[in-house]
Amino acid sequence: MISNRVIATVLAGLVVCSLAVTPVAAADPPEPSLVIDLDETGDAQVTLTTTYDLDSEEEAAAFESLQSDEERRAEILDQFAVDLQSVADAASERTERPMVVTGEDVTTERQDDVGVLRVTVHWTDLAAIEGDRLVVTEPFASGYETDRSLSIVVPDGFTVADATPMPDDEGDGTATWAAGTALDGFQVSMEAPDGEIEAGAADATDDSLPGFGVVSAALAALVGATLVARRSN
Amino acid sequence: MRRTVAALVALAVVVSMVAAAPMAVAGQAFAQDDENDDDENGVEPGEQFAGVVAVHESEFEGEMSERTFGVKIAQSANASAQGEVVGEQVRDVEQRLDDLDERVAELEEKRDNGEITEGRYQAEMAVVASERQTAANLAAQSEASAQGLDNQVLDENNINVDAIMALQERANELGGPAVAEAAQTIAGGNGPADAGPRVEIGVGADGTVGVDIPGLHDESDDDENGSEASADADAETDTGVDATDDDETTVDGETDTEAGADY
Repeated sequence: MISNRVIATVLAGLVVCSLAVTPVAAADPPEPSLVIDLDETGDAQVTLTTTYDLDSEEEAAAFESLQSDEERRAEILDQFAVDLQSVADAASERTERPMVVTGEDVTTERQDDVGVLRVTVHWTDLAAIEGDRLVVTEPFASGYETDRSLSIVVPDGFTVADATPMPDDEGDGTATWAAGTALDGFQVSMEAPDGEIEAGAADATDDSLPGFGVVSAALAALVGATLVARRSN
Repeated sequence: MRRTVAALVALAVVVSMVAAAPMAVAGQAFAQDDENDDDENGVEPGEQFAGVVAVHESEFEGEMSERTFGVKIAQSANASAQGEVVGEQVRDVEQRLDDLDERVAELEEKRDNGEITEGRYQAEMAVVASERQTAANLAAQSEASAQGLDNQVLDENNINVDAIMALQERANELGGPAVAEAAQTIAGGNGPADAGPRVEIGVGADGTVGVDIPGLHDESDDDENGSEASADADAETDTGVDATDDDETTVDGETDTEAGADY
């Protein structure tokens, strides 16, 4: 004879099992995007996410072949880094701040019926250090407009102090502009925690123009000469 | 007192001149850079960035189209089925080229009447360059596939090999030299490492069409033919696709590029 206790235990087990197999709502496939993940030195990890709808078995197989083609994916990363270095050169001329782009990572991922390609590069000095702030302008301020969203992830502890145009979404240290937003005149200022940027971060950038050192020396000489003149009088 | 003041003035003048000289040189250098920016290509950094992103997306889509065509050919059970795939692809290439012709005309008109900037025009034309390359590659793959089909299959699917070759030529010349120049401008003088077809298609000694899709998992991976997937009627290719989601692959890169501007 089966006791009530056994029956209760079996029923409880069945309930637990049914909960365990209840399908968890699948995460939405990612949207095409460009994400700029900044650190406190002004360097950034720049990730471009591109998607492709896999509407047929043949397209799914084609995407799988790309996933398995390590050599080709390495080529994609290399080509993207080379092209972005050219953009960085143009931005460097505009900002007078050298920038170097290095290929970091390329991943492919299938989520349901969407193939996702993510390419990441490291981009030095994308943000300028201005006092206690990091400031991003180029290469977004002069005609950057695409059919994908742009997100800027601020360094830990930093906050967005000013942004032009205003982001469409902001939270969790990320400011996002929707796809198709015209970003002419783009400028985002991020304030450092405690009002100062860590020592050493500023050393990473050298915005000095030739001649500034000479001016400083000249001013020092002039002050010195003035003092000597006063004493002689 | 008068002598001291005169000495101070002289010192200030000399110091100012010494200080001003390199500043002036630097100023000239940056002014020159600015002039060069304007003269070089009329493309702003933001416009170039948008162009690079759009080209990257277009190349991804193009590569997927080329690989998908290869898979379809490889999976076709017989020559008749291959003929249908080729016929469909040729019509797709024709449509792509018609659309691109229309887009080039539209872009030129918008640039000429000031609706879009020169930089935006160049960025959009760089995307056209990528898409016409895809069309040329698909035409080349179609032609290679058609070479292995007999006349009856070609006739049944309205496939004309000479017409496909003409499509390739049309794709390569679409938009004239302005298209290739725009691609070079947006990529900063760097052309694609290898813009040809990613999927190789050819006719084997036995007269069947062979397809080589890099990375494709198939039964022939374990045999002498490597990843070549035969379209022979008896050789059905297992694409190895399953329904597994979140199947992620990664390649880390150490692709240092040239250091940027010289400052």
